[in-house]
Amino acid sequence: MVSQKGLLFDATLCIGCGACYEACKERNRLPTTATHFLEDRLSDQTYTVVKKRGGRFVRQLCMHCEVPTCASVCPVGALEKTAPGPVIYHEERCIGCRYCMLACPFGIPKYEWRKILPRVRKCDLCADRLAAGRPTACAEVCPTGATKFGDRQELIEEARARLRAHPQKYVPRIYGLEEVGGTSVLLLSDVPFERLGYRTDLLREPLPLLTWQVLQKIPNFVIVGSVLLGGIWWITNRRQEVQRREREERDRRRSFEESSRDLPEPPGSSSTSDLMDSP
Amino acid sequence: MVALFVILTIIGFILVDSVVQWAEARQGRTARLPALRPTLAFETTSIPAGLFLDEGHTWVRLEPSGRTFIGMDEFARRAIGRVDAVELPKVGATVRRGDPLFAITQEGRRAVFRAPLDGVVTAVNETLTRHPEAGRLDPYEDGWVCTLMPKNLAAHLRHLFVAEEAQAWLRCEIERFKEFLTWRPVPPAALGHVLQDGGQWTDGVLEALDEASWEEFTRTFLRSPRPAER
Amino acid sequence: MKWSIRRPGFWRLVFLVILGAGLYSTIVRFTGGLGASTALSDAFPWGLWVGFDVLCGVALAAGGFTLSAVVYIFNIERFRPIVRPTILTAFLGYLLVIVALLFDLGRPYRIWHPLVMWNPHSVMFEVAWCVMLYTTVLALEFSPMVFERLRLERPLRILHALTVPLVILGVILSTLHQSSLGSLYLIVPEKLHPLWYSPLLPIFFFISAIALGCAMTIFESFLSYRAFRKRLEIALLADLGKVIVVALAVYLVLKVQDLAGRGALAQAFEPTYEARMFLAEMTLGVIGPMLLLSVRRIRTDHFGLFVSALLVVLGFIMNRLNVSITGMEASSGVSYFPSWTELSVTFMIVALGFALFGLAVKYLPIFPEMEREVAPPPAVAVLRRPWMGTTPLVLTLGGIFFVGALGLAYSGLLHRERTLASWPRLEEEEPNIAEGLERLNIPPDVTFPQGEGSLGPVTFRHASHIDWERPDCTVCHREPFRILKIKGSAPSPPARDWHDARHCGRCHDGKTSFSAHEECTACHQP
Repeated sequence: MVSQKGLLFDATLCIGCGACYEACKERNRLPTTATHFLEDRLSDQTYTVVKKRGGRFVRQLCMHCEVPTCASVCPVGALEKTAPGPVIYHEERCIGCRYCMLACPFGIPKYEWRKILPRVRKCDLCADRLAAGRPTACAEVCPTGATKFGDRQELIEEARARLRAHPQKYVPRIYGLEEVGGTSVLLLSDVPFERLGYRTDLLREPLPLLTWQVLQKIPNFVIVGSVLLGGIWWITNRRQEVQRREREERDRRRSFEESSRDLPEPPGSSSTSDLMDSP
Repeated sequence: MVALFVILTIIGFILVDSVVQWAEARQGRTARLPALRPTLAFETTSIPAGLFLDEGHTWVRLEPSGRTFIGMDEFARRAIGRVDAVELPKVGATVRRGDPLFAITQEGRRAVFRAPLDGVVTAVNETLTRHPEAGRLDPYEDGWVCTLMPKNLAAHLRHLFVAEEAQAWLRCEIERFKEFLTWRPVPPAALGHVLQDGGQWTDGVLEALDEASWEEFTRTFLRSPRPAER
Repeated sequence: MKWSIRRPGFWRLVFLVILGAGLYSTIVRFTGGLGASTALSDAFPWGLWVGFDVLCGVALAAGGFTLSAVVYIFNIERFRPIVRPTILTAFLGYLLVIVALLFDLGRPYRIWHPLVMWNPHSVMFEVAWCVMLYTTVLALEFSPMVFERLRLERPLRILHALTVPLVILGVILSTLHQSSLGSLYLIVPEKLHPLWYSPLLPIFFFISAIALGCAMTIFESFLSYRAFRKRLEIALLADLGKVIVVALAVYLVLKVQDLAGRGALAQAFEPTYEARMFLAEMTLGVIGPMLLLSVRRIRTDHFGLFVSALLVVLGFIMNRLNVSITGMEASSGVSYFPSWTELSVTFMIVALGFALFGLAVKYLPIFPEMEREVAPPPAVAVLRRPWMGTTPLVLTLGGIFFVGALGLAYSGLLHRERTLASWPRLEEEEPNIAEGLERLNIPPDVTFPQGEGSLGPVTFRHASHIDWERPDCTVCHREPFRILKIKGSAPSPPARDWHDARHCGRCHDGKTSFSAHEECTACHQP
């Protein structure tokens, strides 16, 4: 089994040099989008940014969730969580419904609004480099080790070691260990994560469970519903049928009585009756 | 903000429309109506309370005076459609239940309706000779054909349908009529067609049917269903 | 369209203007892309086209499945005369939803992808399949009207045999679809405002769809009356009114229970934008019509029915827009209001719906009745004599709910800025980078081999080129000092390139630092 890769970002180590930002732009051949990297925002042409927040520099990039919301909501499976970690985008499948953008709890996927044939854009954890056994571009150029690349399990161990070594410094929590079921990108910080722009009120279990709880009931619902409705129809229809039969039966009995008692004489006695007795 | 905007837009359109309606009404201009395709849903037709229906698709209304009004019911009226002439019975004639009472013609073909009761014809609706279509809109009022002073009324009334029974019987007849139409060749010029699932069919569908179908209709629907007669 | 062209001038003109603007916007949309034609953004990816055209369009088409279930499954034959118009409306509604999707999807030509590329974990996948299947079912349910017109016997007979299975399929699909539009938002618990987010969203959408379906049937009947003087089946519509009361009551009870259960009930009465919009929605769509319709006098009155149905329709349009737009605004951090192109496309789609309905009524056997009302028109014209009959009661009660709801919504708008601003802002302060600097691991020196005619090789030292107070790699590591390439192996481009203003010469210009053209030996060290 392929070991799952990931990134560990330690906000205490980031000096805001912007190397990761520049490396990402270079690796993805993206144009310059801001006069200074600190002023840039995530967009269809910027997959990672460094922000000055809460007295720290902090990176923002796709978290590559263990159970990605975006991949779960995509109707055509254009987003996919691969075994080595990256959540990648299959451009040729995408229909452009933008549900991934709505659903992503981190607000990561961005859209090429200006294009006629737009695509969803986001960090892909340098999937091609990973496949070649190299670290992500951002981790490779980081001069302080603030962004560290490695096996996710090892990174978790590393993060725990750092928390143990400096319990008074860090916020005692590895962001991304449990958030929405865990992410491949892990964060450490000495200021509360909310101040860095990372929501701490996210659910602990994967968000796709919320919809799956409903969706998994569909096959049952279809079967039970069809049978139920069919049954109701059968009953109501049968009732009408019975009523009709009874009516007919009554009619027949009455006309029999009538013919035997009331009107014994044959028809045709009247002058115009032949008009009605056409064969 | 968007929600409020959308709501206000819809309200705006409704208000503008009411102003437009008001303006039209003031100018005495009523909107020209598109020709609706006249179709029927018998399920909704109502039979006036207290009216008796006969199996030969005539109706009977009892008057306090003892007279009975007789006419052709809505089913027959709608199925037949255009009526070119009505052959009224003679005043004073004595009829027995099952005797031919009156007939209508449409393009030279006749449909004879049988008397639902025994009795003496006391009056006929002369309007129908001048305006054979008079009963089209309201077959149970304007469409009366003659009045009968009945004999042996109690015995004969038992054979007529009234109230729920009449409704139920009419429903059966409609079902039967739909079946009947299913197997009829309908010329392309016909006004409309049978709707298989909706129980709706065009008014005057018989106008478009051939002679054989007409004969069949008069025989199977306007009959007095006495087995002995067959 | 013919009917609208023959109609008196005003609406024809409006229709043409809407159509013209819509067509222009269509061109803008398909030549300029979504960015040029919508106010959507990365932070607000779903706007009016999804919120109104799709969510409301589908919900308003709910009459189709409600009534066909009543008539065909429960065999309540009385309602048969109004089945056809509602099926037609549902069919048109779904067609127009698909048209709207073609506008909204980034790549509309791939709309068929969910057919072959499956992801059963996606609610959107379910929605896509429901739209496709249910549109097909509706087309089949609708087709007898066409076959009848064309006098095609065989297909009619086949369809007749298929009616009940088709209706069952239709009811199942609708149930799934109506609820799945609610399920779409199940996955955004941290984005949708708690007044609307609930694990019961699919159930709320479904129940409200039933109420809305009945209300739309009533509303449509009045529109048909308005346009075609089609007779009103008041008795039937009043019965639908009863169904609405029951559905709304269930909705209200569930809603209150749900809010209380999640501890969000108090939030509904706070002076915030969302709370006021929520109260407006509930007043308009649930409480108002419930009270109005439970009064027998109002329920059996033309004008009363019309007003009640209108309240339900407006209330639930508001509900869908609140879920899709109002409730998402705060967390998105941006303010969304549709662009005029979005609006005009929506107008065009709605106008097309009216026009198609008119065409269908004209050419297909839709209405079972030939009779036309000759009595004084109900609905709006009744306002001419507002002191008559039930009208004053309806006007007073309806007016109270109406004005109340609008007032609440307006007060919500007043709170809007403040509420949206109260979303936590991230303050920027000068970062502390001491620890990072301690760990600063300077990239290795880069030695450039001696070129032809060069004084000697150059060794570039990162250490001497860094501002130690505030290291910033991006000062140099833009074009052409590609950060990844340098890190790999040192490239050796022609010597003169390194001296120009785009490379070393950028800073070594004699001003910022010594000139690259004068002090050769500062770098070239033999």
